[in-house]
Amino acid sequence: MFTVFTRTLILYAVSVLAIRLMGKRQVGQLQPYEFVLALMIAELAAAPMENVGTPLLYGIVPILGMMLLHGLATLLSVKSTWFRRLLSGGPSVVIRRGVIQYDEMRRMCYTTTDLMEELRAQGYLNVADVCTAILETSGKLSVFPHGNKRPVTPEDMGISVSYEGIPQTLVVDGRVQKDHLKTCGLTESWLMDRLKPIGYSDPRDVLLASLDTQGRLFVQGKRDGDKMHLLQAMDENKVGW
Amino acid sequence: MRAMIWVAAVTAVLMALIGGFCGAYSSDTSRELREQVTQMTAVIRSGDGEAAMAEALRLEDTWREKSALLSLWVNHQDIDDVSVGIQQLKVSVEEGETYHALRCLAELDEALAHLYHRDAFRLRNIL
Repeated sequence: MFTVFTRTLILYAVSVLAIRLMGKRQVGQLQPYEFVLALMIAELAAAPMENVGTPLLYGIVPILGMMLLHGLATLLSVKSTWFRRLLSGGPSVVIRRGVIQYDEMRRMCYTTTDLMEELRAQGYLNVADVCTAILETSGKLSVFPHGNKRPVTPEDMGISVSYEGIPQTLVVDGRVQKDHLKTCGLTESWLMDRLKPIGYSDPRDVLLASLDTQGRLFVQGKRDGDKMHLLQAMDENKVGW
Repeated sequence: MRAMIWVAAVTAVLMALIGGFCGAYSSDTSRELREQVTQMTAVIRSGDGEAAMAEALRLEDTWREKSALLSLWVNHQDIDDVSVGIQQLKVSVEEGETYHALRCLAELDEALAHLYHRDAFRLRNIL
């Protein structure tokens, strides 16, 4: 079993190295070492599954080994910047002050076509609108337009906006979310007092009920032809989550 | 963070325990059965058919007892090789075919050594 574990360790290191050398384009949303983990775990689990002559431990032990290595890699990444850079690499600026950084792109094996494709995916048809673009370690491109091209914000317009927190789902698929009610400091009877006037005497008839931080309750029923109800269920100033 | 440390620590301990236990069990089983094979070789060479059959049955009992647990981590083909080897040995002893019995014992010895050798923590196996 130590042999299996040692082989796992070697294969893991080689796979991470290979993925790192392949460049960020191959990685997608995951960090390189997480990507390797996902690939290898699927393969390790599949082998003993399809061959009953192979003991199950031959699949389980390497996966445990991968878990251990991943845990250690994550811990070391949190503790050490050097290790994090070694394992995941660092972000690369591919457009700086509106200028495409060709050398950096070449180093990353990132083509102009890839760049244009990602910019379009982010909603930028014209590269001239982009001030900064950063290729993240996950392979995702973060795009920031020139100041005069970015959308207008309420701050630009001098408009004050109230707090926008996470809306709490109070009923999901007919089931009352008691934990969420508790988070809001509300009770089931409070909820029923709001649902009954709009035609729901039983929460099981409700598909979704959600309370936002402006105190508005959105309710959608399960029955055919049910509309979305929007009502001011509580005072905005009393929202405490 | 603390959860991650715990997971890593528990996994490390689990790996060490599984590895240690499996290695020791395979090695002990292999050694014990190979000793019986050596004894049986001597008995067969001495020409005592009844004693040889008794040894073969003892070998079979020991193997039955040990193989149930071994199949959890030893390749099933390796387990089957030993089981088939013991059956062939019994038939040879029953028929009084000394030459064939000795050949079966040699093959069995190799199969038993293989039980542990494939998993042994050696550079040769790792590479």
